[in-house]
Amino acid sequence: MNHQLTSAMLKSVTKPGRYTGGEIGSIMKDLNQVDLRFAFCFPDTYEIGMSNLGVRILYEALNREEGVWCERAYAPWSDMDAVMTEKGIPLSTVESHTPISQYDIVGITLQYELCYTTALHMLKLAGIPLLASERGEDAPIILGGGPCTYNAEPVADFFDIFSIGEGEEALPELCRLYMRMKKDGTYTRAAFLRAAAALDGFYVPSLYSVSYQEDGRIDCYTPLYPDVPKKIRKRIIADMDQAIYPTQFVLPYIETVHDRIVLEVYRGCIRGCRFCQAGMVYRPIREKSPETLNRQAKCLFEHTGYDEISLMSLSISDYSRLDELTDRLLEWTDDQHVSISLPSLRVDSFTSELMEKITSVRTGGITFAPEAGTQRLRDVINKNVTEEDLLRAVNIAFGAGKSAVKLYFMQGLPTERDEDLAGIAKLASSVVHQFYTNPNRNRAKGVGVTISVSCFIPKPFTPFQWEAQDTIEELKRKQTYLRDCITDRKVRYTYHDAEVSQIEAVFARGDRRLSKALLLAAKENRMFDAWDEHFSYESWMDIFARAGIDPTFYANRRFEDDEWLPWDIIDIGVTKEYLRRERDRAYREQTTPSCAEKCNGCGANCLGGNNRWCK
Amino acid sequence: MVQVNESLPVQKPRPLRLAFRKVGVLQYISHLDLQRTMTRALIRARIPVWYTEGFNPKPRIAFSAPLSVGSESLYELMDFRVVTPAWEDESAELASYLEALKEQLPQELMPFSVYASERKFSEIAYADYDISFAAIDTVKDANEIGMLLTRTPLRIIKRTGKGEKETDISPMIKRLAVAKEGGVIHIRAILSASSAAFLNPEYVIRVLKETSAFGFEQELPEYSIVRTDLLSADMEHFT
Repeated sequence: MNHQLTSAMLKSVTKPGRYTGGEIGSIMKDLNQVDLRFAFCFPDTYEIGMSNLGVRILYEALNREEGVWCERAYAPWSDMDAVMTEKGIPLSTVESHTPISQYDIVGITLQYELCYTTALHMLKLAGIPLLASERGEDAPIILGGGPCTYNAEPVADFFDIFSIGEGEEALPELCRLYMRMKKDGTYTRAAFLRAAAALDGFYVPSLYSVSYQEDGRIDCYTPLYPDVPKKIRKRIIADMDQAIYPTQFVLPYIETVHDRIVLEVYRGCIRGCRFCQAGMVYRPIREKSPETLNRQAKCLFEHTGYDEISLMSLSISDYSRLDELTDRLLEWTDDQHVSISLPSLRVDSFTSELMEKITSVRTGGITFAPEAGTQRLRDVINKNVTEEDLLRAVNIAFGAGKSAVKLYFMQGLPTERDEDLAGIAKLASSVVHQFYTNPNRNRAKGVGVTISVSCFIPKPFTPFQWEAQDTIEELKRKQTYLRDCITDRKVRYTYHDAEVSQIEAVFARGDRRLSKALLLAAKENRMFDAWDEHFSYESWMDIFARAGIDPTFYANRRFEDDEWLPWDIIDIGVTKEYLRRERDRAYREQTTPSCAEKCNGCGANCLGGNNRWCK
Repeated sequence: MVQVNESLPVQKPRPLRLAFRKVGVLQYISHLDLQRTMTRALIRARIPVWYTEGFNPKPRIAFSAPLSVGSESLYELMDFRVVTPAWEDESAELASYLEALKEQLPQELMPFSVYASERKFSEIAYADYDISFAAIDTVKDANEIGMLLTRTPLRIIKRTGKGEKETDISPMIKRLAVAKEGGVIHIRAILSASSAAFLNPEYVIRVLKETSAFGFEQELPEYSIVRTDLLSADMEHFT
């Protein structure tokens, strides 16, 4: 029990269970056996952090390492944050309630751009200097990881080191280096960071100097020493069957977002949709065997008592042995009253057999992601799904009694015209029509089709990484245009805030100069930007103005083909030539087949590993 | 793993009761959180629990009187049913379930008894509480506090589902004694706890706050509420 957080404080905030710890499955180690204390920070609330699979895997991997104790810390919600700030209570972990400033390494996982302010706020609440250059020998090493490290330049000034790629082997390796240097007396911050930069997959931003051209674009990145690598190649786990996976989960007491057994089925994606960063950065495709997965599922069930298994991957229906896996699981899950859920099902592989097997029929609705309203635009983004595919899929769902369908789309895609947006409305109407022509439809309930439209953000390491995002005015005009196209009363239309999307784009494509804005934001205690109640576009515009930053330079400018991109310091295996080729094919409205049909030579096979489809 | 043995005749699910405590950090989890925690513990303990029917089968469990977030309890009860035939040695069977649950639950939710009971939760009429806080200078003395709480009528504004209502809670305070022990004021109160007339002990704190018994109206001192027992209408320990 954290004695600094009194009962009166805990009773005065919402969900005090966020701060109390003591969860079944959390790891407590004897300090006499510990040489390295690692604080794993998730820059969002406890409920969001506890749902994250990556943290669970790394928590297991680090705690299995002899001499290392990994504990967790989450961002206190604004009510508790106010109490802690007022009473001078520093940010602490939930296991031992030790202030994180006392740890050797503080790892922060960067899941999405809008969490940057929360991450910095956690450092502030911990009493750790925000700028890496200001940290003394006693300060912990601040390590960044997660999907945003593929372009971590906007936060590079705040981190000592980044782990690029998959961390199950890399993080324990880093810890072993740290413990060794401490033991043999060679440890200093500077020496450790130099040595870490020599390990595969670690990026130490302070070892590079960045120069800029007169027009504001990056000139180049220069390593400060000859032994510092020009680019950092991401780490991958070669054999997913041998990779560390948790045998138990920390079981939250309070309700979290994904309170169930999660199985990571495979990494990467065969489809190559041109807007999708995840599909590129997790290549090459590496699958786990059904034997391994079944074993992991049984083990987790025995140690948790959860009643649902979620099969996680970027596109579960593309797992080459899905039938085998579901058959194996169904041998015991029905008897144990455990349901299987398959999120992210592709439209073109949704079959009635699949639907019968999985019991996510228990949940009300079914979701598909056509992403664009016309075949032309779907071809441009390489989302190889036809209208027939979609109607066939919804028909199966309707025939099985479903009456609610959610369809995900994007607006602001490259080459988009108004008729593509009108196409979204037409598709939704076709789905409604399909319901009424289905003889087995649920007549007790009417149909409900929801279209959820987000704003396209050009992401690093995608064929669209050079594209400009639509201006806010244009995004808003399109939102109104689409709303006017929808006349069917059975269709509900929701869309994402254009202003939030622009800020996301700024940080997704930003460089180190954005640290000025983040420092100002930190001074003003900005946090939880991903939460509606805390985001303020006006504040961000004001901060950018005071920092001398033009946000449209990052979000709304087309980057040149020969320009040095901020993320060029990272090597993900997939080559720039491939991305450019794909971008050119997009403009010619040409599709590219999936990896399962034909290897397209993206370059990721250079990373090796037990890859499934590479030639 | 639970094996469903189809050669046995269909068993009528046998009701069992678990007595446990809810203390320490676990006073901060809600009733729903507790339900989830217990459900999972039963499954991990491989106890052959009876499941609900329908779309989303879950172990069928029920709890005795509600406990607010922020209150501890030394005596909580949970009912469940088992679907396997009774063992010849009944006490061995109950002991095995208790041991299995002890392994799956933290200290703060320590179960201490598994037994078969004929009595229903609806027979619970009262709950015994120990409400305590430090007797700092500003706090009134034990006698005054006792008098404040035993006034009749004792009106308080209760928040109900439909809004606010002024209620006289004195009939729901069955017995009350206040003592000062080692610098701590202990209010031992037996409050009505039937589902028809349930008095949340937090109202005792509220009365003291509103009558300035703590000295300052704005800030509450650290206080603790511990439920120590559940009683039937005849004021006997309920099992």
